[in-house]
Amino acid sequence: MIVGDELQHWIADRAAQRRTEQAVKAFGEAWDRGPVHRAIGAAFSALDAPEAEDVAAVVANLFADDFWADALVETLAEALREDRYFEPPFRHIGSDVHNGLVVYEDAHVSIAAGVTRAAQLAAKKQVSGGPRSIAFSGQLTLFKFVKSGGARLSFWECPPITEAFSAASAGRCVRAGTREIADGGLIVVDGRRQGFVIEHAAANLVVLQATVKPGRAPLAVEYDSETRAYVGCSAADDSASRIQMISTLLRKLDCAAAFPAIAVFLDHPNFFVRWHVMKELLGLDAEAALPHLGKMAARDPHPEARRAARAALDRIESGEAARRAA
Amino acid sequence: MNNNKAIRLVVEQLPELATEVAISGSAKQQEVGGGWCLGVAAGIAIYYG
Repeated sequence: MIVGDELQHWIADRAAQRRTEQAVKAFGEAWDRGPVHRAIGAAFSALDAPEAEDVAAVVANLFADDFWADALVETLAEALREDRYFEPPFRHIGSDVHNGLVVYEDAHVSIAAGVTRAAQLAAKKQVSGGPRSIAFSGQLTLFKFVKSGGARLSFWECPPITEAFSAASAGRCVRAGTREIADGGLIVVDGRRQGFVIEHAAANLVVLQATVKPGRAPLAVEYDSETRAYVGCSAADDSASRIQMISTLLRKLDCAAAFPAIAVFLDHPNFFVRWHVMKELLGLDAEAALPHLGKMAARDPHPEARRAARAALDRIESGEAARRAA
Repeated sequence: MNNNKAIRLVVEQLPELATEVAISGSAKQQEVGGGWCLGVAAGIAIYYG
């Protein structure tokens, strides 16, 4: 790595680093007291346990006048002009065509501001490859195209993604129309059954994106762009994946004391989480897990969890019978 | 695995669900553009037909 003189001085200058840290901290604190937080906070405080549509209405109001986004970009640019080592106090999101910052997040919604680059989109078009996915996020999402880049979107629909989802019943997605997006355009995409694809863009897109948390489906689902057939799915909520990973880790560590804490998730709303923790409990302490397994085989609301539990139970019982006969 | 227990099971040998569910934020096939994931798996496919 080649480090320029200016960076070398900054790295050696603890006082300069502290000034940068203080600027970042001050910016974050000012932002947290600003109009976005005030507007959303006031709206949510008036709602008791808001549902997805309530949250979407609050965000639509916020997106109706996006003066705050201009002001945010301007103040960020000013901070960067004053100190080139200033880092925005927001989580970065990015892909090969899109970069953005998560500027607001609470229990109800995440809001990001970002830019999708037309040149990279065009480059994607030139790259040959295999089939691609049309994704359904499983979440209600609002998009405000501050600058639309002359984008043309195609819209897609799939069977509703619910807690009863299974690959066998996923069906296919269908095209549901095309639309040119104008500057300032707002679209609401219910990712529990709707998705969209950017078919074309003449210039960069500047987009505000709000992802609504209440009422989200358990899964994000992919369909093949050519055949429209189901391809696969992933957890829509990262906390579900974290529960799975931590329960596996605890089982691998043979942490028997964690059994009750893991068992709590046998009541998790997502069927794949319930079965995952069931397996880990069986690995941790099969005798203690057996009663739970019997209940799951008999009463789990998802047929695949019931079937897997029944198969495991049969396997255990046949093994026990063989042991007794020996 | 708890070796003090009479029943010993290997987790990897237990039945799997018919529906395979990947970790949050992952994609089976390439999504053109990758998506604008907020860390809460709000993926969007961007592709050219």
